[in-house]
Amino acid sequence: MDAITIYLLIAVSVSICMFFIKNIHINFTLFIPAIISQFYFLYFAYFHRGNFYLEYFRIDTIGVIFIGVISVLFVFSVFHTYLYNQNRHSSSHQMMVHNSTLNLFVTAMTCALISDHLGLLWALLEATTVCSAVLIYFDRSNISLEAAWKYFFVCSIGLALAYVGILFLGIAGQAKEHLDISVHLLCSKSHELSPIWLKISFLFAIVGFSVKMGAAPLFTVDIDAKDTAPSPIGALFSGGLLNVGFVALFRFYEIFSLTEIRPWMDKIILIMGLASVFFAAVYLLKVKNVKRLLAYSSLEHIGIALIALAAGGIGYMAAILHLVFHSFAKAGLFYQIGLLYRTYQDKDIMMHGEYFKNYPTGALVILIGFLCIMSIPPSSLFLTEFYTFSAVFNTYHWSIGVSILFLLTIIFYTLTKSMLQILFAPMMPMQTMQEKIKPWESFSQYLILIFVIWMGLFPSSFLLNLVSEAVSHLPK
Amino acid sequence: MTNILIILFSLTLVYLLAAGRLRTYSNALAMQGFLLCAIAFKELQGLKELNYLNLVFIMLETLFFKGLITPLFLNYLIKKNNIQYEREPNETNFNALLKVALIFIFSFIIGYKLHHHDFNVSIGTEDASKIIYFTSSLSAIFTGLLIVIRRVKIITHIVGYLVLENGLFLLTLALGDEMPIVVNLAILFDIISTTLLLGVFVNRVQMTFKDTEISTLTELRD
Repeated sequence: MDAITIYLLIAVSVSICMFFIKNIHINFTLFIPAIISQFYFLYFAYFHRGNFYLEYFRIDTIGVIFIGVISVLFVFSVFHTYLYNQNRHSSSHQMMVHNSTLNLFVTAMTCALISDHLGLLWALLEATTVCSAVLIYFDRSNISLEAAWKYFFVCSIGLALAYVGILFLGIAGQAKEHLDISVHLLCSKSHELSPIWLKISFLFAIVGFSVKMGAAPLFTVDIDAKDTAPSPIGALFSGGLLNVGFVALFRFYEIFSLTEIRPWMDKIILIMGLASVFFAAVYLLKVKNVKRLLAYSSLEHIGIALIALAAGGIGYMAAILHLVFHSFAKAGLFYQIGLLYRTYQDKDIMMHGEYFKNYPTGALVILIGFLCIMSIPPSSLFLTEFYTFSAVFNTYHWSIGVSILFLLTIIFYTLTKSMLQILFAPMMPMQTMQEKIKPWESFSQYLILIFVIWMGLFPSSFLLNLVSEAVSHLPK
Repeated sequence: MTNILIILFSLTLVYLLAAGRLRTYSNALAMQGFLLCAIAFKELQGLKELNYLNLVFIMLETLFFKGLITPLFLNYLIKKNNIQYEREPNETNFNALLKVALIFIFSFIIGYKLHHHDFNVSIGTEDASKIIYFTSSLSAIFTGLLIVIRRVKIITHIVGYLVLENGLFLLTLALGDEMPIVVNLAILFDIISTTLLLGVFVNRVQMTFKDTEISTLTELRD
């Protein structure tokens, strides 16, 4: 048995056990073997890059990078789910279903990252959708039901469109022999693919995968999902699922970048990235809910990553690094917002205030986290945005770079305003502090944010080498 | 023979768009399931390297899942939630037929243009058959999307999704080859769980909001 079979067996059996074990402490203890197996698989994947497993899986560098991100966030999300549960005293049935699905969700994301067959990739993405719907409906409230239904339905329709794209890609590559939609095979014969089919395939795929990335055009349900799901799950949506959607698109990019449609495809990705940043800027101006604020900020960051990908050259590296650092910074903020909610019992920013006075440890996390997602030095996101802009100004007309900068200024303004409101504005007279949070509960957020800043100050050559290896096969 | 079956499949789309009773939807879906089973059998039988395991799997998938279980499950949902009709103001049968005709024409033009840059295909050739496949599957996809957009009941949205999935299945067959069985299994598993979960959500929405119209789900906003 190879490592991936063992990994899958452990993940599935742990999930089944979690589904049946009522004792919450034992249920959470079961995460330990799941986490160990996740990290063992990460270790295995790192040393076996380029190998095929079970015929349809191929481990490549971009997959390893994002499996690393998901594995780390998995640990923190489990820890925060435990805190979340202790505080809310959810029923054991709720926790059994939630934990079991969370484990399957992480497994489905991990497998999607290394899937070489596009049909299997699609099936795994649909599996993440099924798991997401259950995770969003954790509260069993009206609003979570609405969000779960909308997310589930729109995702399924979106992914069905992506499947049309995958089938069209099959038609494009069918001229010679029988249907085979493996990424490595399509890459090797990409010059034989018919351009008209490729273009149609790409349009369907990009619209379909946008729902998983949370990028324009199908971003709305993703915002609802991040708002309604528990904060630790919101962190995994922003820090894990978004990357999985990006990798799905990247698989198409890998194949198509070697064909003649590449300039056209870059334009489409650029438009999608610009639209995402534009919608983020517009919606952030009126948003009042702090979790939706973070969700729209994710929309902005995936937009920047797409723009970097479309710009090419150094933009390829910038896109992947941007997503890695964004995942950590955003996850840290989501965990802290979970604690913030416990303090004020309200998601409305206007109902927050004086957080620095009430809970200085957490307030510092909010301050650093917001500075990180606003890409202010020494945040590592500043570096990646800097490289993105240098790639954009090199490749496209200067007006595009300037318009992105203009939109980012609006986003900067709205985020700063909200951050100041939370941290320093006086509390509303009717608002009271509901719960005193212990400082150690913010410890994990510090770890994550220090990593994001450390990478900005002293970029790790190990990570840079990995990322440059991940994009080495793309044309310059 | 395959062409006749595909054309019959297209006719079920007309039936679906003109229908108002929810039972009609589940009947039409059952019909689609059986037709897909027959089409898949004819198509896969003609392959040079026939994989019997895959053939049996696809037969079971279409016959049992698409033809029997899904329509029965829909009937169960209809009965449990006591929904009889899809309410739709200002929509006459004529309008519905006009829309489905437009969908057919649009799908045909796309299929034709993609396969040929000139209009010299004679009926009976392999290319003509491919265009019929393509037109039907695209029509099913667009009809599914139209049902989702135009209808107001949550349960009808599931019907739209299932029609769309049937269109995708036909498109896969149009490729003239099948996906590997592992991938097929994964896809089938996903579609089954999606349908079941969508059904569970319909029940929950009915229980929570005492209504099954999509207009009740408007609490989430900025």
